[in-house]
Amino acid sequence: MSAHFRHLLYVMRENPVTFFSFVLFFLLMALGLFGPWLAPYDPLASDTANALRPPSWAHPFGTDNLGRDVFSRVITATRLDLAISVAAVSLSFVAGSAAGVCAGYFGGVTDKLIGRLTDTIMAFPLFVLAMGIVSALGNTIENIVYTTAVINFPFYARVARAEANSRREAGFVEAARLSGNGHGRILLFHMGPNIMPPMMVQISLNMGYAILNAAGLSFIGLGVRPPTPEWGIMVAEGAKFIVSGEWWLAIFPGAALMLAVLCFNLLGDGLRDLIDPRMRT
Amino acid sequence: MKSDSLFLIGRRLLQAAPVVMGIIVVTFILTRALPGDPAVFFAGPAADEKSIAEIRASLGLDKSWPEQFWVYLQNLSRGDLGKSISTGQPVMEELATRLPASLELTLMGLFLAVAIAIPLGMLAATRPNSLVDHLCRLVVTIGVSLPTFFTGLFLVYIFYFLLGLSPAPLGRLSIIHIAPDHVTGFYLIDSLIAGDFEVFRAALYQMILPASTLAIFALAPLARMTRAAMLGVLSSDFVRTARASGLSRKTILWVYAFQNAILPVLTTLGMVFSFLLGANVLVEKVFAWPGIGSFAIEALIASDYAAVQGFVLAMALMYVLLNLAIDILYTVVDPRIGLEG
Amino acid sequence: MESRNPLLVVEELSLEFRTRTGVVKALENVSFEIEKGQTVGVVGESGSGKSVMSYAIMGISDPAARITSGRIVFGGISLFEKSRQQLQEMRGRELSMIFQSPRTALNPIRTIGRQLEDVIYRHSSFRGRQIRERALELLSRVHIPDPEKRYRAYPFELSGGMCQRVMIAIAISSNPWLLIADEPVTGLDVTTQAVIMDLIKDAARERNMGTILITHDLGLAAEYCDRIIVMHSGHVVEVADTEHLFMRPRHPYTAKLIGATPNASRDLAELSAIPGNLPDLRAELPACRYSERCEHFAQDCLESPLPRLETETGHHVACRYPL
Ligand SMILES: Nc1ncnc2c1ncn2[C@@H]1O[C@H](COP(=O)(O)OP(=O)(O)OP(=O)(O)O)[C@@H](O)[C@H]1O
Ligand code: SF4
Ligand SMILES: [Mg+2]
Repeated sequence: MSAHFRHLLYVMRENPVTFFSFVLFFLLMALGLFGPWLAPYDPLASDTANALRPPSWAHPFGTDNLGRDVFSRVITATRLDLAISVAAVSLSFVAGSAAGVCAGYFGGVTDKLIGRLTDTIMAFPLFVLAMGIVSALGNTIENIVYTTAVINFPFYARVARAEANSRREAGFVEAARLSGNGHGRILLFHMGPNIMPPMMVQISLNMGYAILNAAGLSFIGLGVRPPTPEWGIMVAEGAKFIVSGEWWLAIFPGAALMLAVLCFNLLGDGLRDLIDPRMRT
Repeated sequence: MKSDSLFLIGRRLLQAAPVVMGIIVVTFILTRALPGDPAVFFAGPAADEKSIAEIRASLGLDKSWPEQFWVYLQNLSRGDLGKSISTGQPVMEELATRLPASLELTLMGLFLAVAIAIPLGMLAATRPNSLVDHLCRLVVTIGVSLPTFFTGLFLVYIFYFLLGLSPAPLGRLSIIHIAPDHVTGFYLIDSLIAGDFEVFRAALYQMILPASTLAIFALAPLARMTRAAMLGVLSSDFVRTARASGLSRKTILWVYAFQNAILPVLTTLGMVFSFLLGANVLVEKVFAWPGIGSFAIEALIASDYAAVQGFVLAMALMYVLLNLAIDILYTVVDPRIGLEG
Repeated sequence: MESRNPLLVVEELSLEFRTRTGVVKALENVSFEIEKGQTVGVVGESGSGKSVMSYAIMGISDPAARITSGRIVFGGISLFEKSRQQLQEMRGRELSMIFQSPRTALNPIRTIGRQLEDVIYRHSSFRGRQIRERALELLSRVHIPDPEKRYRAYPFELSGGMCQRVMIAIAISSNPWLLIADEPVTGLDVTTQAVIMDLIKDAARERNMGTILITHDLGLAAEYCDRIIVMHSGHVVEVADTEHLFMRPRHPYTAKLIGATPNASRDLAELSAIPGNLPDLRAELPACRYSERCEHFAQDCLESPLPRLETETGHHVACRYPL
């Protein structure tokens, strides 16, 4: 453990970018948890007298067409955006690793079936499939979560399958089997912890994609409804004002979105370095 | 040799069959998994029980699932994707008229991305830790983190609002121009065929921003893959042999390294295209591009199921086709393919 | 003393790699000479720096490599004074090299004929049809059956032995003065090994070509080499004529190697008989890098500089207490 920690410190020192992503990560978490209390204004309170004001001391990100404070809306939106993607990623992580580990461990028909399922999902352009699923399930936030989970499922299933497959014959699995453990126990207590490191990397790399995906769906008008503050929909609402020069409506939520995605991508790269220093690209 | 590759290509086509079947099944499930009763929906708010039942029968919704699937397959084989409730036109027709706009944009974006990413990745790989390498890393990291719609809006703000270099983001041609006669449906090509350079220029200008938006998005994975593949190949045994044989730098780079490195990049291209087809929808919305993406968004908002599912199916089939094309290209380029299979 | 005009002189060559985890001192004060027509074996365990040394001679070192001292003189001229362009032109023309695992050493998606043509085009004045004829001639020269057909084959369609023949054809295409063969027969079956080694020997004899044969196989070295260089952890520990070396090894490491190889043909790679590991080349190293494993170790073995003696004419050893 302390070796891991020292390696972590080493990675941080060697790689300021990873350090930066950690800082960003904690900032995002803080905004997600305490956003509503940190926001200077009520994100829903309109003030038409002060509509479309450019950034100022009072409104650092300006105000939107209804006079709402963009800064407060961007901060408050953090929680919803993160919640959607965390929920989606957790779902696909759990389902994907369970399916993948089973496929890799049992092989045979199980493997074929799960392989076929992931292949079929991957045969679609994923965002397009997401649009199709949302339209079929109904246009709600929960369905955005399920949809995002479905399209991310193959990534987890594939990584978990590969990891489990390569460990199927490993000593510790054999030992567990000989000492009378059932398949369930082996999968849960012996395989599970061992495939965690690569799955963590996958989660972190995947979070960014999940955020982008969910925001993309709300940008085209699915899931989140106005006036709920959410980055994707804020960019969509602000888009009309870009051509007349009121850039702050769309650019600030867009930038927040970008930073969040960037944060998770950098974190994923950093984690990969941490777990396997040779895999640097 | 020749008949060999024909055989391989034939086998690829066969391998695509279950994938296509999977796609059809999924879209079928999606059309049947509607939350409400589609018959009620199609009948409209004013319908009574009887007319709903009639519509249900006419839509075939009173039959068992296998029967419905069979009907669905038959309809598909006739190119019948149902009717769009918002426009009243057959979905197939709607998609067909809008497809060229989307395709032209996507291909342009892909072309730009490839044209930038591959040289960038190669430069970065040949000069590790140089300025170009760091630039490449930056582009790759930022590129995958940028939401396409955000990039698009940002470009519009800079190039249209601030600099005034770009035309308004309102579709394929500004209203003062008239679309060229339909030949391929690609304005850039059709205008050239018609010999109308004015329209060509206008269409090109209109396309630069949305295509760049797509390109910025697609650049990252391509550049990353090119760089990685190139680094791998440059440290491979056969490049060492080429160097030990005194071959010129140019030959080593282009004939030995590049031709090998391009193979994994080709594979990545398939994945990139998948992302692009999705990103295309967002970009079409930002630039009011009259393609199938915009059509699908309108359909989604209007709960026009047949249209959405037709769109999903069309996109998936297009993606399968592209993957097939890549596979075939791969088969032709890489002599080793087919031996292990 | 006869007037000597060696083909290759490596003089006090030191080379290190700058890596993320430290500086790897891969070669230190390596010196030896090769005459025209001579075959010199280089033996030593894995990691002793045999390949690194060959790459340095060829001028194809890894970008991380730095030559920190020494000279390499080829045909009377220092290679370090040549421009990159000149070195590039010399490679494959005057200096050639063949490698271990020939199947990966050839471009997998280019026919062997084309690969041979590339090198001929580069180094000769042949053009057009002549190139093809020359290539076919070379393929027959290395006894590739049915060269016309093999000409269009890809490396993966040929056996390892065939690929190594192609490699030899490429290497000797311009009649070089020096051929470096880095474990040319490792991984090939025994009969093929003999065929390939004979090909190399004949090619060298015909052209009066100097040959450096890098090998793990002491038996092979004994059979084909006039002289043998023994390397250990980036040092040349002993150089002598083959007979001398086997009759009277002076360095404790050489003695161990020979002693550990009862029927001279056993492979060094499978030897576990020499206790201890190679030292970490990134750490501070003692004057004698073998000292940790040596049975004759004495305290003053750690003192620099390590004596380098010529025990009899042409028999050099770097050891404080040679046997
Ligand atoms: N690019 C490099 N960067 C860092 N260290 C290197 C590099 N190339 C080689 N080395 C180190 O130099 C030393 C000598 O390696 P070399 O490949 O010459 O050994 P060798 O004698 O050829 O071994 P083998 O018999 O396995 O081929 C090794 O310790 C190796 O780790
Ligand atoms: S110098 Fe000393 S330690 Fe080194 S080989 Fe000779 S006797 Fe052994
Ligand atoms: Mg070696």
